[in-house]
Amino acid sequence: MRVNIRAVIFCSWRFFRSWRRQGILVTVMVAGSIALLVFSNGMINSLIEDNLNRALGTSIPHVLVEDPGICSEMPNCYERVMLVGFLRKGSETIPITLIGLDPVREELKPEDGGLTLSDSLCEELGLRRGGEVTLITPNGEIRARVVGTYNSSLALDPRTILTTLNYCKSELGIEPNVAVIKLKDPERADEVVKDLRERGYRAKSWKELAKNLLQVIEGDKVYASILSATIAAVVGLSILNITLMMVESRKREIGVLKSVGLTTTEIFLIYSGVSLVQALIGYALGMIVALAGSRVLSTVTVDLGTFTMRVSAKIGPVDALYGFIFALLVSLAASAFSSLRAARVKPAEVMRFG
Amino acid sequence: MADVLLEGVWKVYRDGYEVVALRDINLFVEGGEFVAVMGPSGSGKTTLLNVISGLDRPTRGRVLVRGMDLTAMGEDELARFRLSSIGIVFQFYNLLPEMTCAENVALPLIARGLNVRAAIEEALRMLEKVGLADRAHITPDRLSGGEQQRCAVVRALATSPSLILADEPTGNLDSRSKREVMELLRNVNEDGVTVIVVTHDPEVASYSRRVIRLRDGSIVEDRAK
Repeated sequence: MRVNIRAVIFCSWRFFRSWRRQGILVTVMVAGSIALLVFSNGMINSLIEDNLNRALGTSIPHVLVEDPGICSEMPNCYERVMLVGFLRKGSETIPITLIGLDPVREELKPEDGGLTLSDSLCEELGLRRGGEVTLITPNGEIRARVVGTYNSSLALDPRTILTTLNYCKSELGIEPNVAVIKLKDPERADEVVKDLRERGYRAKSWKELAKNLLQVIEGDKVYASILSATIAAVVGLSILNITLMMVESRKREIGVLKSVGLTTTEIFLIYSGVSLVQALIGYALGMIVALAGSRVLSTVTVDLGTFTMRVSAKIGPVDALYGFIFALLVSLAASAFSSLRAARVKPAEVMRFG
Repeated sequence: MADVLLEGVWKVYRDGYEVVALRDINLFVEGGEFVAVMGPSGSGKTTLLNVISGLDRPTRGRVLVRGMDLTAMGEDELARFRLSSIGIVFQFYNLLPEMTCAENVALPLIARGLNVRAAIEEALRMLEKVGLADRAHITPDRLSGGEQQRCAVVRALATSPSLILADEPTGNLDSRSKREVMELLRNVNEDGVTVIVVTHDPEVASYSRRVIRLRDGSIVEDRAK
């Protein structure tokens, strides 16, 4: 049976205009849920990105090559010393990873003439800047001075000790044993590693190096997604509940439309039109609120004692799309529901009494 | 050809216990007739009208309107058939509160394919004829009962149906409004439209040329005046 779109649009618009109170309620609920969903997704994004950024390029290089010679043929390639050893203070001996780098060329700039420890490791060993400690490496033991500390939040492993290449050579007699490559796009790391391996180099990408961290992040993502889906389900059900009440109170109108000569499909489309417009307005408002919230949040910093955390919610196109799909699904579910109700309405029964 | 033909129509409601609303109804209404259906409450008057309009289906028997068997039609077919051939007037007007009087009248015209502007213009012309031109752009809640019912009658007439079914159209009206609505229906009938009115009111029945009396779902009297 041919659908009369003109009649559908005519009725949808009239109903949309008139059902202000319920319409505003549904629109506000959609807007609130979209804002909540998109904003929480943005926060999850920031958390994951922050964790990765903190680790990437510092304790986890984009690409690690077990041959410093590669730097003669690659741009943005830095020679490093990387070895495991121990640090001893009194009766306390702690396993550490020592990284020696070139402070002139690299972003990390440990002071020369000693070791730079994380603040948490200093606290653990009761050390301060200027204090002395025993460094045990495969080349032997030396007494080393603490020349600097760094914020432990900057490293994946707070037991990483930084020093200069110069110090490694002069005090420990160790030459660079690895090279790290910094990429403009860290996502290309696997591609670069594949190429290096084909050329006979032993190389690892940050995804391989930070496998454990990535697994933790993936786990976080699963929990965050479940949380996000739960929020969406609860809000979606509330919206459907309002729609249910709305359709229940509109049985008589449905009966009138049927008696005048509109088909069940046309009535379904009328309700779909109304809920779609409400959902789209709600979506737009929700996105505005989420983006504004994200802007406000980016100015907030939280002092956590050992370090200051900058809070943010990064809202990307995927989050916007996710919100849009949610709004569409809610609108579709509401329409499907109203259509089922409309199909069941018996005009003779609902219009008999005033 | 008969405008309305009912053959052996039964309507039984089963809601915990059985209620026979219509019992073996055989009825023949010719085109252009003005028929009043009378009877006490619960006699089956409204059910009869609902069955003729296709708003309700008979349990048994056949209902033919202008030669079309309504019992063989699907819901959407019935809706379209009503749109083209039947106008219905209810006791409680049943105007859509979301629309103005003119928009209510224009709705069936738009549903038949007329564009909105042309439909509203046509609705305004029709409302002018029944003295509602100045009330055309206001919503039903601000109209009096008589005005609402006249608007409902105009809506029922909008698509020029050949059959008008009115269920207690004056049940909620004062005597002046009642006369206005009945005059309107008489004028329509004089233009050749078949009118079937369900009523308790002898004054309303006096406008008709044939009275059918129902009792306990059966026709007990069918008298031409």
